[in-house]
Amino acid sequence: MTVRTASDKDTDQPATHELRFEGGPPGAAVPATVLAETLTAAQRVVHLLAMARHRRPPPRHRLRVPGEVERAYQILCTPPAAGSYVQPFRIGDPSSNLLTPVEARDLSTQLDQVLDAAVRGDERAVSELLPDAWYRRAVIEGITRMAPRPSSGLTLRLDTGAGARSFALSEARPRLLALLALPVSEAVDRALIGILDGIDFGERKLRLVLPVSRRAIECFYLEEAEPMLLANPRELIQVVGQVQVDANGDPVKMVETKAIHEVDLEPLSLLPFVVENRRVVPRQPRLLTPQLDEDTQQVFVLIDEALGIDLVAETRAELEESFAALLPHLWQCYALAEDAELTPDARQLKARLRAAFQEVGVAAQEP
Amino acid sequence: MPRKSREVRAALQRKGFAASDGDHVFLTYVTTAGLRTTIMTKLSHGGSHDIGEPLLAQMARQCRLTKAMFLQLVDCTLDQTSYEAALKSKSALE
Repeated sequence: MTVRTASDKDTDQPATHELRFEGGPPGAAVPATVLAETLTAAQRVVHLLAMARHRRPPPRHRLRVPGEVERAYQILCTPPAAGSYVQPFRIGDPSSNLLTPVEARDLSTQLDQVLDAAVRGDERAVSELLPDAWYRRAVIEGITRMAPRPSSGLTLRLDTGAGARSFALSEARPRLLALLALPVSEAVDRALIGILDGIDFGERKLRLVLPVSRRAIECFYLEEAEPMLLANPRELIQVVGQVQVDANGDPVKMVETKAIHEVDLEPLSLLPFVVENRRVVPRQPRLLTPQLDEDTQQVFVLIDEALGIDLVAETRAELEESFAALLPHLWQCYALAEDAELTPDARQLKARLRAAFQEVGVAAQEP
Repeated sequence: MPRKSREVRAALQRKGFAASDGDHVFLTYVTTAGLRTTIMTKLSHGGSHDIGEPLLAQMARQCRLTKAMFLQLVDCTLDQTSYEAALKSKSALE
């Protein structure tokens, strides 16, 4: 990490932020160790945000900041201001060829957004800004370390350079510690259904908008899925893979794509089945139409109350398999059961099943 | 929070749900009087499989419970007697 005092040329650039220490010794002084710890932690947060923005894989263990990130995303301290101890700084070395003013400004804005969410203790907002659990935790740790320890008698506020916003970091310490105490959510296998909202052919990346939450999820796609994606712009598709979820179990990010499907809601037919070597066939052809669940539109639902069919599944394939397995199960459990074993509702179901299907003899034996 | 499939199965079996054999596990509620009901849910194969929030909500509906009460049933803070009382109170069980 590099912290350097801004040169004369650099001071033409306005500070983006101010560290405002209060409650220190008389004369508005701040112990060097406190100032150094705060600046070190602030620099670490900025480097972490820069690495996350540039989609560097999280280091998982010890943070090693690449040289180009370290040089470009420096915190530059401008001369301290009078009053309570105020240390202005700005983000980004203007002499670096690796960082445009726009990139520096974007990172400064992102810092403010993360600070805002963190001091409010808003886990969901922090997760949206930093979907990767490792970066999220490291950044919150860094923000927590920016505030002087309570035993120092000092408090810290971080103001934006224009004075538009103020983040009371010392006051927020309990909320920051609560964020750090949350369990780290691991990626889980999940199928996500959403509207195909965009495709980046260069990066083989697609953007999915979840229907109810309107949350946008980006993921990489497999090349063989491209024709299907082109045939389904702005339609519902399903992506199966490893999904990072927040503390509420809501998806935040797709970290690994395993499969992509169209959302197939074509009807399913009642088909013959075999139970205890007896072939059972429907008396009338009947089609059952799957739907997506009303609340989240993330799960396939197949319901026929008359036949006791109420299936839910994450994928169409799983729904079809379950449907094929359910009919013999219903026949065995209800149609073939003694009335004395069943509740009144179940006896009625038995009658409806027997009215809808009939046994037509012994099933053919497999050779 | 998601729940492990195997934990949900074990919890429901402790509360009176009978599990079918085979690749597809159907769990059917049997009353304390020993009568089979039409209340049924199903678990995907693979005990370590996480059941996400949307699927948990649907399983709750199948068990005629709110999601909060279903999680109580799974987490063992709602016993079978209380479950059956809840079913009767909403006429989901005669």
